[in-house]
Amino acid sequence: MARVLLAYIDPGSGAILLQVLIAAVIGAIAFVGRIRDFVSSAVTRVFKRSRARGETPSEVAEADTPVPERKAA
Amino acid sequence: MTAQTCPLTRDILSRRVEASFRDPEGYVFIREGRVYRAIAPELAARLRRAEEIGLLGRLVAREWVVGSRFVREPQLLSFLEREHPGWHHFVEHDSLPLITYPYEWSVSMLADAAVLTLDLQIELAQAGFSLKDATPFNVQFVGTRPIFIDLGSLDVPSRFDVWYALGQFQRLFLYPLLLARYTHWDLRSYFLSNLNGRDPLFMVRVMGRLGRWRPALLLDVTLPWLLTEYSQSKPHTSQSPGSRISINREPMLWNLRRLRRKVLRLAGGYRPQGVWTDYTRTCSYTDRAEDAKREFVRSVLTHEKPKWVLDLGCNTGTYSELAAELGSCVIAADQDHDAIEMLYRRLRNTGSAIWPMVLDITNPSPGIGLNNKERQPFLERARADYVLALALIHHLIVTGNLSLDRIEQLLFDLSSQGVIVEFVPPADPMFRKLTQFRSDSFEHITLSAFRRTFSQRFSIVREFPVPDSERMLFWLRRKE
Repeated sequence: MARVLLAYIDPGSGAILLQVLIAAVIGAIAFVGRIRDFVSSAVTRVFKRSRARGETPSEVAEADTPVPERKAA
Repeated sequence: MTAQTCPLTRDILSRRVEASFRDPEGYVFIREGRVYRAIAPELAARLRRAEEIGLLGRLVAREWVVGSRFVREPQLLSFLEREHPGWHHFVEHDSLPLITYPYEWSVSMLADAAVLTLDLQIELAQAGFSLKDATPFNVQFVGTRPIFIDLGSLDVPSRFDVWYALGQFQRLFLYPLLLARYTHWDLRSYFLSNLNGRDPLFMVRVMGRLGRWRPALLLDVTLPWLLTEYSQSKPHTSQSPGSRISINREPMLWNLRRLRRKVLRLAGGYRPQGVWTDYTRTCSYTDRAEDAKREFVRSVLTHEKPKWVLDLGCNTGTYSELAAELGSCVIAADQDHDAIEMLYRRLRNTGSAIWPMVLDITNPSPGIGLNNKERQPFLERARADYVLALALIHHLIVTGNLSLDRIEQLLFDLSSQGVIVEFVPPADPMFRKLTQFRSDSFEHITLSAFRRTFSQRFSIVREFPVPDSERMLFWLRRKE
C-alpha cells in the first residue's frame, strides 16, 4: 500500500494543478490514439479478410459488419 | 590534481549542520571530520531498497549522487546511537572540499544543477522512487561538476503522475533562470533575498501584463498563476491530491523532459555581456608584459605548491587555470557574473579542480537563513594557502574605497601562507580610467607606502616589475 505523503515543502497548488492538467491532456491524447489504433486495425482486418476471399471491401461491409472487440482495445 | 582529490578548505568540527533541519526524516552532522546523516527507519528502508536493486550504486558510480554508505561497523554505530538518542540508522557521505551556494553561481551553473535534479528525478521515477524536494541547495559543485548531496530526499510517492517538488523546482530553478534570461535579474539578489524563491504571482507581476503571455512563460508561470487563483477562489475541499494513487509515469516524464529542454535553452540563450569579460582583450598589457607576469606567477606557485589558491578578480580565469595546471585546487572568484559564466562554460564537466564563484570580496556572501547560520558566510567556508590579487587592488582602492591597510588586512585574513599581489600605481592607464570622474586624490598610493604597509605581517620574498608598465608584482609570505 503506497503511503499518503504530502511533502514537507509547500508544493504550490498551481504546480500540482498544472500537472493534473498535463496528465489529463496526455491521457486524452493517449485515449484518442487508442481509438485511432482500434479503427485503423479494424479497417486493416477488413481489407485483409476481403482480399483473402477475393471480394471488394464494400461487399464485405454489407455481408458482416465488424463487431468492435473491447478486449483488443 | 583532480577536483575530487582536493582537500577540505577548512577543518570541519563535530557539529550538526545548521542547514539540515527542514526534513523531519533526518539530519546531517559532522563528527571527527566525517559527514554523517541520521535517518528515520522508513527512509532507511527506502535507501536499503535502492541499494539492493543497484540504483544507489549506479547513481554514485555516475557521480550524480555523493558517495554514500550505511554505517555498519558495530562500534561506530553504537557511538552514533548514543550521541544521537532516538536515531538508529546512519549513512556516511563523502565530504566535499568546498561548499558554494546558488547566489555564488552563474546562470549555466544553476542550469546544470537543474538538469542534474531533473535527470535524477527521471531515473528515480523509472525505478519507482521520487525526490521529495528540488532545491539548488541540494546540489554542490566538485570543481565544475554538479553533484546531488541530499540522499534524505529519496521518497516513494503514492502517485507518479504528479511530482510534488515541481513547485519548488520552478521557484528555485526555473524562475531565476527565466528572470536572468528575459529581464537580466541577477541570481545573487534572487537567492540572497529569499531562500524559498518567488511564487507565480510575483513572476507575473515582474513580467507585466503583456510579458506574462510570452510563450516561454505560459506553462510554468502564467498557467500555474491562473490555476492558483482559481483554486483559491473555490471553497476548500478535504480531498487531498496526495491521497490518490497513480502509477502512470508518462505525464511526469513528459513534463520533466520538457523542463530539461527548457532549462538548457534558457541558459544557452543567455548572452554574457559584462564589462570585464572583454578585459583580456581591452586591457593595457602588451604580450611581453603578459608573458612575464605569467612566468612570475608560475615560478612562485611551482616553488610554493599551495594546496588551495584563491584567485580574486579572476576574470575569465587565465591564472586560475595556470594554478590548477600546476596542481593547486582553485577558487576562481569574480564579482562579475558574466566573467564567471564564461569561465564555467569553458570548464564545465572537464574535471578541473577550479571552483568558479560570483563573489564581490568587498561584500562577500553573508550568513543567511535561520539564526543567520543556515547558509554560512563565505569567510567561514573558504580559506586558501595562497591568494592571487592580480590587477585587483586599484579596484579595491577606487571602487571599494579601501585603504592599503584594509587591503592588507583582507589578504592577510584570506591566506594561510602567502599572497601574490600586483601593485597598480595611480599613474597606470587602468587606474586613471577608474578615477577620471573622481575628485579625491590617490597620491598617497605609492610603491613605498605599499611596501611599508605589507611588510609588517608579510615578508616580501620577491618584487618583479611588469615590463612596459609601472606595475609591480609582489610575492609576499606571511611571517610566522
